[in-house]
Order: sequence, then C-alpha cells, then structure tokens
Amino acid sequence: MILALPIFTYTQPLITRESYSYVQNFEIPKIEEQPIENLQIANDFWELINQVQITKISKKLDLITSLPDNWDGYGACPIDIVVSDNVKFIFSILPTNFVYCIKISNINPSANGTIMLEWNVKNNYLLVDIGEKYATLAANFCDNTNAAIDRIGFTKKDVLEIVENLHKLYANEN
Amino acid sequence: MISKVQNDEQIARNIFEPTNFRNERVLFNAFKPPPHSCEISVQRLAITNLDFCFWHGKSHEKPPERRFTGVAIIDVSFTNSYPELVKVVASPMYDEVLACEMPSHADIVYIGYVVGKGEPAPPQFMEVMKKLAELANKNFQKL
Repeated sequence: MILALPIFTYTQPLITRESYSYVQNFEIPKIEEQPIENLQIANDFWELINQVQITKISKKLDLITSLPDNWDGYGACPIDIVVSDNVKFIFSILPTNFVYCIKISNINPSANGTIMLEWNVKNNYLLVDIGEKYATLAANFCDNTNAAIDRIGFTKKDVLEIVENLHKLYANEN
Repeated sequence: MISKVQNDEQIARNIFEPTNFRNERVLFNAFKPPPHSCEISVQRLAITNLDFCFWHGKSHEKPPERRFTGVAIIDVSFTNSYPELVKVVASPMYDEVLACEMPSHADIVYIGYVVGKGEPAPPQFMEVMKKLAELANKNFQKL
C-alpha cells in the first residue's frame, strides 16, 4: 500500500510503508559490525577529502612562493621553494585529520622567508614556523601547559613531535 | 616625550592584506621582522593620530599583493608581560614615500633576536607575536 506523502520533485524516491518503517527503526551498526566495503568507502571518503585539502594547500604554497621582494611593504624577502617543499614534507607526514583541520588562511608567509602554520582550538593554539633548514614550534594547551621546540628537523621522526603536540591540542578540545 | 616611549602609550601598526589579514583577522605573521632585523615599525599615537596612520598606510600599499586594510592599535604595556623579550623604542625617521619627517615612528624590538633569512623564530618570540596578533584583533581600526 502506498503511503500518501507529498512528492516534492519528480526525482523524489517513492516511500512505501515498509521502507518508511525501515528508516525509523534503522540502527547505525557499530564500527566492528560495519561490512568491509563500508569501511573502504569511509577510507576513500577521507582520502578524497585529504586530496582536496592537499590541492588547496599546494595552491596556497604556490601563491606564497610567487610573492615578490618586499611583499609586505616593510622589506620582506621572497619565500624560497625549499621552504615550500619543507611544508609539503611536513603535511605528507601528518595524519589526515590534522591536514584537514588546518585552515588554509592559517598557512602564511613571514617577512624573513619562512612559512608559518597555525592550528587553533578555541583559545589554544599550536604554531609552527618552517624555515629552510629546520622548524620551530610553540603551543598553548587548555590545561595551561605550553610546548616549545626550538629545532625540528625534516625527518619523519622529528615531524612526529609536531604530531604528538597536535594530538595534545585536540585531545583537550572538549 | 619624543625620546622615550611611555608605558601608558598606544602604538599603531599598519596592516596589509592578503598576507597579514585574512577572514577579518590580523595574522601573527604581521609581527615578524624582515631579514637581518629585530624590529617592526609602528606609530606612536601619543604623537600622531589615526588619520596620519591611515594616510601613511594607504601611501605604502601596492595592490594586489599589498592592500592597506587598517591599523592595529596596541597598548605599550603589553611589554610588561615579556620584559626580557620585547620593548618599544622611539625611532623618528624620514619617510621617503611621504617625503616627510615622522617623529611618531617607533619600533617594537625583539631583544636578542636578529632574524636570519629563512630561519624560523624561536618559540618564545612566536608566543610574543601571537600575543601581539591577539591584541591587534581586539583593537583593529579598519580603513
């Protein structure tokens, strides 16, 4: 028996009493009960989101490296491509969720030729300044603790220090 | 008064977009000095006024990479929180673009930190820059 529900557009799917009841009683299966295909879809989704974000980051870095001399009017120098490559390296190591979390407007050049990254959670922050040979980090967490690292190399092991502090920043989110 | 910046004064920093101002927010990179320097330029509002700051900022813009957006006003007393890291000193100068003397010119000086090209800022100075950006966002006068 067809349920008399308004059809808003001709593409609206036909809803039967059975399907309506199914939707009402539908329970979201727990993660471990998810069929493998669903997890694959979720992974693909995040992979796609990550790719979109990486593309946006790459475009921003292209803009940054194309800045002319004295781009800030106070004597700033252009950003070397090496610095941009270092930023890309860091993003290649970071877990997908932290790549996704950064706002593109928080990836910015600095007057002395470095690139500064900023993650914010409420009033807390994690700042990374990336240079030609190394990076530095400063963070303030909601438990009133701070982090300061004055030399982060561009190896996977070193970048994991950033990851550790990002975990701490987002762990305190709630 | 001209020679020494008082603790109860206010200073103003010209802010340009898009590199130092995005999404209606002053970014902390606006407070990083250029290479081989340890200071950033500001104007003392005890000696000059906002109109001059707007005129000065507008005359130094160079669209599209540098559009004058407005002026960030900061209390000099912020240095009390970082006495070993930062100070504000008077530095009157001649402005070649405006072709006039600027007795109101001053510098925020990062103590013991001369910026090298391509060298990231030490964490403690990044914190100061972040604080400056926070204060700038609290009192930002848009053009």
